[in-house]
Amino acid sequence: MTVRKIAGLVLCGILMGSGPAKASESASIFSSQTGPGENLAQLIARGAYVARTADCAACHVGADGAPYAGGYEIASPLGTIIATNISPSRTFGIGGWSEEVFARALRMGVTPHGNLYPAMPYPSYAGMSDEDVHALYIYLTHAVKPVERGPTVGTRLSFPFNLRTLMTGWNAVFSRQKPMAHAATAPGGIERGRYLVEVVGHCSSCHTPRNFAMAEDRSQFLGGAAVGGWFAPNITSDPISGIGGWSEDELVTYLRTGAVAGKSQAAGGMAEAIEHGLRHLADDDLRAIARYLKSVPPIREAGQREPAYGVAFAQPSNFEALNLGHDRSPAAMRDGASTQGEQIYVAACAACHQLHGEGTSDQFYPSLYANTATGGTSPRNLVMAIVKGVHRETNDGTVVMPAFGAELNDAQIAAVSNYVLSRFGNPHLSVSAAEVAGYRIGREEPLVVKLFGPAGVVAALGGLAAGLAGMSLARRRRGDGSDGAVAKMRIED
Amino acid sequence: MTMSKMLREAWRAVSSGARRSAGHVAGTPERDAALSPIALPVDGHKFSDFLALSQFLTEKSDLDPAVATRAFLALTEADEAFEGHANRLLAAIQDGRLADMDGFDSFMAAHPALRSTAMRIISAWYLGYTGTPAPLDTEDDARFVAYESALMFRPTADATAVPSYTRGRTDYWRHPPASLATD
Amino acid sequence: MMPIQYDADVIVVGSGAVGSNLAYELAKQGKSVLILEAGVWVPRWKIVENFRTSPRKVNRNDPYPNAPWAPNSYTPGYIENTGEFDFRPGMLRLVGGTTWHWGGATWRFLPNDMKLRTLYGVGRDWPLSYDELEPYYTRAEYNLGVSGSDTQDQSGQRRGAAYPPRSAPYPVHNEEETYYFQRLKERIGAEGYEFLHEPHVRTNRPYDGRPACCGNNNCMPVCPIGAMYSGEVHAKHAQAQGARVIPDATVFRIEKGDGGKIAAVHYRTSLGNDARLTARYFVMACNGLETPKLLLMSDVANSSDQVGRNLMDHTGIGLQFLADEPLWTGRGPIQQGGVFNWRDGAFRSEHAAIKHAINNAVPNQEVTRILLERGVVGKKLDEQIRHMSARWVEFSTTFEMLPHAHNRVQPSTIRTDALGIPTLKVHYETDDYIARGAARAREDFARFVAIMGGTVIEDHTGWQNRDHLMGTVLMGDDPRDSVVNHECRSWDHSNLFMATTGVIPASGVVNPTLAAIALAIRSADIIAKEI
Repeated sequence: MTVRKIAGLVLCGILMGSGPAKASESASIFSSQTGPGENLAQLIARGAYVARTADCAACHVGADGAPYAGGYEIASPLGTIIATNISPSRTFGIGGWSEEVFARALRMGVTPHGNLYPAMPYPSYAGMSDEDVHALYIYLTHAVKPVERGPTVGTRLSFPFNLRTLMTGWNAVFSRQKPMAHAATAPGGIERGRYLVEVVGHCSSCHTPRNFAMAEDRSQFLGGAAVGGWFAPNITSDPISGIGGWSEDELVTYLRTGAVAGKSQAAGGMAEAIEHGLRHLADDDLRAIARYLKSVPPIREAGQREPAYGVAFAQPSNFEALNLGHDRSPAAMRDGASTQGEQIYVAACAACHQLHGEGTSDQFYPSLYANTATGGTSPRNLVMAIVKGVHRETNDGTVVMPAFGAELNDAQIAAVSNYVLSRFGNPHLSVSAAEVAGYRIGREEPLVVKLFGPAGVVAALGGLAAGLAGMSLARRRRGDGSDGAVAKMRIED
Repeated sequence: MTMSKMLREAWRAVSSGARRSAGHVAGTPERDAALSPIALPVDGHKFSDFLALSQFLTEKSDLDPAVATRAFLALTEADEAFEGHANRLLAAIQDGRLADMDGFDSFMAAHPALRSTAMRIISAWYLGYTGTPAPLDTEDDARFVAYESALMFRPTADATAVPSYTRGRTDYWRHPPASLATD
Repeated sequence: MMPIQYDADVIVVGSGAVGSNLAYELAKQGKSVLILEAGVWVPRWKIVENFRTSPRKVNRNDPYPNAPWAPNSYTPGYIENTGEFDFRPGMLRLVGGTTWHWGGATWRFLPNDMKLRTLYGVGRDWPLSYDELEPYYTRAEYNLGVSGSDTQDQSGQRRGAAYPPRSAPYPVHNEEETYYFQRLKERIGAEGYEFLHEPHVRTNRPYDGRPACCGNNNCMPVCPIGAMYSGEVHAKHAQAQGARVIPDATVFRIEKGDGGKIAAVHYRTSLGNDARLTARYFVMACNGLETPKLLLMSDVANSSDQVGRNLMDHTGIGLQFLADEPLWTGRGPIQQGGVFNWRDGAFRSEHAAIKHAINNAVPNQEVTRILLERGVVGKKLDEQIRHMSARWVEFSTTFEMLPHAHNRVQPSTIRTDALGIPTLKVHYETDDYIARGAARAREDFARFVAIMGGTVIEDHTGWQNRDHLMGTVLMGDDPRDSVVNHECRSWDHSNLFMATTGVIPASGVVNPTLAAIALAIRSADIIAKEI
């Protein structure tokens, strides 16, 4: 399941703690938690739907796939963050938390064990309505099976980011959203779309660029941002840089299936978001999301003149002129070192995407022109699809593109990417082997570290802890780590 | 050269609109490869004649020059007399004794020596190789000419794959091609 | 006493599907494993390119590098045939082995196949029962991602329920049948012929990192997208579990040690350098021809004088005809099943069991070759290519072969490869048992053609290779007439195992690779317990 390792926290909520959560607050007893007149089954169903929409399970999954067991590794620019157990285990999970304690963690990033880091999108969840918080709490504590074990390793970050108290200052500056009213945000409510996008679905965690302190830059809301090696594109209403050229139906189809012929196919974190969350949502909710996105203030990328899917046809080429295959010597026939982009394209890609990049007539194997992965302003998603492949479970079977990251080296991936960009996509883009290597790792230093260095962060920002946001966090599934005490530091040099 | 050009233009008049676009998707600019000047590792004059001869014999105007080069080299390497025969065949066409492929059989009945030359050229374009490939051996006289461009795939391009290329999502094969009723 | 130092717990000679699965199972259980492979790693995309630029698409070995120091079986003179039949299977030498090009059919043998002697008085019995092998069949199927039907009686005897018995469903459900297969089944099946959908390893949903088959119609000679399983999958998985694959390492000698044990193997690289490696256990997994050759060269495991003897293939015949309606063969995978009335029954005391497999390869090259031979040119050529391709039907029929001591493989005494290692000498004769089967099969051919209103292209092909190499290191109950026991352990050397289809003593009529993998997984468990 390579793809589950993919970067990008499109919809995941992560409660992070320095160690296993332990029971500390007053016990929650089932019947006492439902209010008068509430039907428990209905409440659980609504909570489950909120959990789907917030995609809690994607990050809080156990290393062995156990739901909400925790242990999933999130590699951030500053170290490794481990998602915690949020099952109702009283020893290892949130079984001992009152609803009030739960709500503080969810909305404010403050747990009985200290501050969370904003890889858990609590700045978004802060807007969650009281009713949805309640339903989510009831669902997690009543309908989820307790997992009686914690992650074997805890979050380990480098100085000064390991100081959780620094987040208090960060929160004061960057996490100030207030809970929204239930009436406006419930299904059918006038604020439903905004609520799904901004709050529960936390789309902006990936699609909004971060500022110097790695908080979302509200002036660039949904304007597109790098996430690990991938690029979460501009989804504002701008017709060129955003989704303004998409019809509402196309957006709904995309959120449901991850594929719209002639526009885009979801990979990486977006494929995960669709697989775990979006495809399970009600049609009305997807429509509300689509409508709201089409109302988000447009952001135009300077210099962009046509939408990323706007490349209407392939540039001509003549692969026959490559004159391959003359040399039938065994040495030539086993030599897989070529960095000739067209040669690699024909042999490794064209079986599905076809010689002229047109894909199959049913577009199950999509065309490479009229495709946001090739025609946009970043080569990242093309490169990462080649490196990591595509894996997207849909309601209609699973879509897979095999990963070529092991079979092709960085120079070969750069070569074939550049061939694809020049022939099917944005010919002004190109990518180097070194850039491919960087995307593979999927982590870039945040600006604050680049500017000041780790030690300078404290001095320069006066205790304002940056970093560690959902941005450029590469999730990695743990192996069965038996060495419980020590987590390796994973800071980039 | 002149004669080749005449042949090409005559062919275009006959076959205008008949070009197949199978394998190309709408919006893909089709190359007009036969008319593009390219550098070739064989004598330019002979090559143009060979391409023209091939166009006539296969009744295809959009033959690929790179494929033509490989076919020409393979055929001349296999038989040094090939070029002489090909020139005689071309001359017969140029002076109108063989006006079109409908007259192929009757013409060849009168010129049996030229038949195998014509068939070898047609065969190279259709099958994508020259010589006789050995199924259970590593040594034979077979030479590669083309694969995806081999003309044998064109008549079925809407129905079956060029092996190693897919036609669509898993299980597409459950249904027959759309053309079934008229096949 | 100093403890003996070994280079590995287990050395596996050969990185094909059988050896790699065994190596993977051992590595997964924490054993140190070395896999020695005569060939090298080759990336899939390069093999695809080699295929497309090959002038001999009919030759399955041609896309694979054929080095003089690791020659494949089609190298001229590599197999010197002394019998009436030109025995020439398409065997490869590269990491992953010959499953790089196979149809991928993974039938289970029937319980009755394993009791041939007892039930029908011919051939030999297997030294273990179907029930004993069944759990390992299941594990093999899950390793390979076999797709199949959980409801079909695969014996062809219409029991009305799934057969043979299975302890778990197939890991992948079978794919849709092609229109071509559906129509043949409708028309020929209506006349009493039993059509079965074959279980196979062309996964139709993503499985173990492999994408779903999308009908590239190129299983042989190379699946361009890696949907079809090849041994390379488990060579890589074994590596990921800590095993080490050493390519360019042709083993040329097995060295005997004290106490009837094997002490070491010796290999030679393409540069002519020799090395000696020791281990607690040794597994020979270099196919049904090279394995006995290596044993004979080393004078190992042959107290029974059966090494290299009893060579069996599912020697077959073919049928090609044009149906009276367009069926459009060539859409989807290259095969899906066939006609199985003669898979089992009392007749097996008289003649060979028969499998009529139906080919579904794009026929354009064969059709065009035929038309050009007939001198068809011009517009008529294009019209006829379409007409004939749409109606093309092809059967590839195979027979159950019996073991005969005179059918054998030996090291050549007159030829060596570039490393100085003897090539192969094969003597292979067909017998009356399959000749009677073939007569019965030709009656079926005539019926198939008649039912489909067909025009015969070819119905007297003569005997054909099917590349299913069995019997040459066969297993049995008696050390005097078999090479290995039911564990696939040499009777003569307690730390030497065979992991190859060559251990199969009764051939049935189905593709043997899955059985060999199941046996190899079983051997791995046995070895793991002893280390």
